[in-house]
Amino acid sequence: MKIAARITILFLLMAIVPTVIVGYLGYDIGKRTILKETTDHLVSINILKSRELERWVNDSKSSIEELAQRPLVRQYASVMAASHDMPDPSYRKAHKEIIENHLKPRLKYGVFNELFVMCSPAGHISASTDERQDGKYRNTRRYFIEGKSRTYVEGSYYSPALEQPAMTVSTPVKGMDGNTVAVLAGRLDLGELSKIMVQESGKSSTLDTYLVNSFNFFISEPRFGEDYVLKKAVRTEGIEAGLSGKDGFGFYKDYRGVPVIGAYKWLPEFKMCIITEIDQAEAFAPVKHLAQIAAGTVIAICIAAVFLGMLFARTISRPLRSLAAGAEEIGGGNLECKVGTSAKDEIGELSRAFDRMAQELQKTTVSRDEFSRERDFSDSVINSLPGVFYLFDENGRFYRWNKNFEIVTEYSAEEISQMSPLDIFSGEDKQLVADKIQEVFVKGEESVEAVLVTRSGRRIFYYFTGIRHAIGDRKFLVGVGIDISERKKIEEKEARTAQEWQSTFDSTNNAIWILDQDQRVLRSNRTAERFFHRPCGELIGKHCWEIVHGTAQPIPECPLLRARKSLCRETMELQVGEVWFEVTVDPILDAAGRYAGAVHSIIDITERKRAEERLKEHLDELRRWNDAFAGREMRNLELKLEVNELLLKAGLPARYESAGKNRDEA
Amino acid sequence: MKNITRISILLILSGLLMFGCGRSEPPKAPDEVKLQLKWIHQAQFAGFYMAQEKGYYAKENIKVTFLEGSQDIDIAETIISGKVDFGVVSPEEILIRRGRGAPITTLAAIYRRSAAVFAARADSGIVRPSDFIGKTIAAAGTGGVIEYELKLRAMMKKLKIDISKVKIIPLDPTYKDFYSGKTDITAAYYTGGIIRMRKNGMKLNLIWPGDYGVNFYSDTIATTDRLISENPDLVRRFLRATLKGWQDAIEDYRKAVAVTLKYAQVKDSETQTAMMEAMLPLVHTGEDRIGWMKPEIWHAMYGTMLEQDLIEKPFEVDQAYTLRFIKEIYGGKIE
Repeated sequence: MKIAARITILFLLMAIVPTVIVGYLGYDIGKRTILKETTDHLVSINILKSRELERWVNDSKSSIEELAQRPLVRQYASVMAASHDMPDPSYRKAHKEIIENHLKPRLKYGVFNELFVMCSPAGHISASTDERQDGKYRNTRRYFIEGKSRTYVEGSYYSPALEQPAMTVSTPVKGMDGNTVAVLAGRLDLGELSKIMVQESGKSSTLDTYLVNSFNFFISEPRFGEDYVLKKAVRTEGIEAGLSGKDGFGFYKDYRGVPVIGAYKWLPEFKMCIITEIDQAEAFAPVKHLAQIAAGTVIAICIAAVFLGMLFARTISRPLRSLAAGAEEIGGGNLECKVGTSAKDEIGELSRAFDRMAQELQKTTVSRDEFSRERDFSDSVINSLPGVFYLFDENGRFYRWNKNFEIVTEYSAEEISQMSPLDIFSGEDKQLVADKIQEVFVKGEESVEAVLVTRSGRRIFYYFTGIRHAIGDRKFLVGVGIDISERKKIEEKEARTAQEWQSTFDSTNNAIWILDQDQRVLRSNRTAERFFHRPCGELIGKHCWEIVHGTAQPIPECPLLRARKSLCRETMELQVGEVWFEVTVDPILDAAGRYAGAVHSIIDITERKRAEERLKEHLDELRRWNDAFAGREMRNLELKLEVNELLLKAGLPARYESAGKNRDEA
Repeated sequence: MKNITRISILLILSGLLMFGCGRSEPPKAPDEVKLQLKWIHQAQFAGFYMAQEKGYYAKENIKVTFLEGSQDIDIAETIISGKVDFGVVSPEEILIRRGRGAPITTLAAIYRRSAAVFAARADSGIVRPSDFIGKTIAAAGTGGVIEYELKLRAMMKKLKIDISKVKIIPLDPTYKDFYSGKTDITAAYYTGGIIRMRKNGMKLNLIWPGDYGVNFYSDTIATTDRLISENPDLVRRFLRATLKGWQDAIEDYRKAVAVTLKYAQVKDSETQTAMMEAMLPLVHTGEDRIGWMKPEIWHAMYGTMLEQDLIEKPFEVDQAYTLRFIKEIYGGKIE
């Protein structure tokens, strides 16, 4: 990654991390504050509305109690309770007076829809502002039963008579004697109740307050419902919590299924709960706005950071790019290139240092070239070597080798770089070579003959040399290897020949010595040991005359002396007691034809000598016999010839064919 | 060797026993129950449909068959005879049959205010029972409509109005004479006839017997004493599912209407909705839980009917109903 990008990212990170943290903290705090304000607001609305409800009910109770306590009302109620008879003038007067002068005027205040008086004990309506209700019995209604003893509010219920939900406040009407003579009741306008619940919603478009009774039915109309009162039941988390007697708030879906924040409060005196809700979308709108502002701020700061980062990066990257271009130039060989600037900062110093480095490079380039040439030369030399070349360190890691090494071992350069020198040996040679390598590093120089095993398993005799070479603290072994397979073959052949020769040498009946120039025995065969009854070791190095003649110098007839002069074979027969020996000396000449030694052979010719004597005797006898028989035969032949000649002369055929026809043929 | 064989057999038998014990019992076949409705399928019985559709009966392992009612069907008799297990029947029928010694008992009151009402034209000036004098009232009938005349007579008696000054004629379910003006007053069900009349544009004054001291329950759920004693669990399960269905119907009457339309012969959403809206305050009065009954109401009903000589032989009225099951179902909570 380029340094400009790095610096830009660094600036971005330096800006984004604290900004995001601060932004998030601000958002979180803001969100909590807004949520707390919202929930506090909802809870306070619940409290206010419940107080308003309480005030409304209490006002109604006060109002009806005030009516019930009026002396005239008490008096009229007593009359009606006593009479129960419509045609009775006093009843009719009381009925009219109580309605016209007391009940109806109170309706004008708008708290009640209907006011009526129920006389004990049947609880029938004796007087009502709604004439249609007159005469109806309410003795089973709770507002009548409870109203006989105290002021009582019967919560929202459905009135079949009115065919609408109703809420009734009742209070006892005491007679002059203090006993309850009737119950005064007033039906509250539930529309007013709904108005109390929905009023003062402020600017909120979703704020909704409503009442729910213990049967989960709406008691007041919710903001987004119509004709729900006592007709629709609703079960939400808030309502369930409220109806279980809890006060608090929560996040849940309302009766429409819309996510809301809702506050709930149980109103034990009315056995209902008040719910105030606001759509989460509206409640969270400021939070969302806050989040947008925070996000916008973060984005703006990030953009600014990127811009500043890029600007700052350019002030650094531009001279660096210039340096890089200069480096490219220098790298391309143009050491004359100058990149130094006059800037006083670190980059300026760097550029100047760069120039100095280029100058130094210029100086060192020559030696580098020489080095390169030398290396090329050494490579050529190494590669031109007839054998293999190798250089490895004490750890056995190859550093250099020539082409021949790869060809001979059949390993690639990459494989050799991973190999140990011992990898190309096997069997006993491996240990031998390892010892020799060790000795090289100890003594400084060593050589060894060993069988090199190629990758394909081919075995080649090699002669390896090794010289220790130190570079600094490190020691290397440098050496060459020469293929000695041919030499080995020759040596083996020679050894075989020598063995054969030795066998031949030892198996002959002649006692043979190889003598040097001074007639000392160099080699002796086994026959000589037998002849002279001495082991070979005792014969070697001694003068021949000491052994043969037991003299301190050669005898005058010694054929060696003659052979030195003649440079040809010389022989001599020598009789030792009854035994005859024939001594033969064949001179050995050097390249210049000079006497260099001789092959001294002694043969026991006693038998031959005896045979010769016997032969001589036989020849002599034969000669004598020959002389005797030759005359006779010749005479016979001549006679036969004379016969044949005579016969021929006589014209007759020859008689003796074997003797020929004439003397010439004979 | 014998011991080894014995031990092996014992182990196998133990395993089989354990395997047998571990296995869950096969699902029990649902109890088949017949419910005799009071009338044809309509929103009047929405709670039963809701219980069926929401699977409350199935959860109680009950398979319910709804049987429609008609003028020709003596609902109480079908229950008493055992043709059906449960029935929707008026409390008047219960008390009359009980007075005859029939072993029929009410389990819960669905309509805790009677839907029976007397209607007069709004411009007729008839606003209270005392205005009935000299008027023609269509309220007479037998079977399911006996309650109208019964309530009329009880109301007039309570108000000490001479019933002989009123002309009582048979109830015409079509209200033709009422429309034409030949009949001044007609009895009708608030959840039925009144809706139809208003739908036809009539402005009405309604005179509720309950306003004049005649407080009757209307539709109740009844069964035989035998079923209660022999299979109280079935009774409990059936009633629990039914009340749950009614609770749902009241809480979401629009849904109840939709469910009703699956059953109703008159698939008129508007009519069924109006019926449902009309019966809401009768079922859910704002007091007590759905189905709850008050002994004083039963005593008042019994007293009224006794006065009307409708009870052949007086009996202990508490035998006509039982709070045992609704108390068990609601856990004693009545509010």
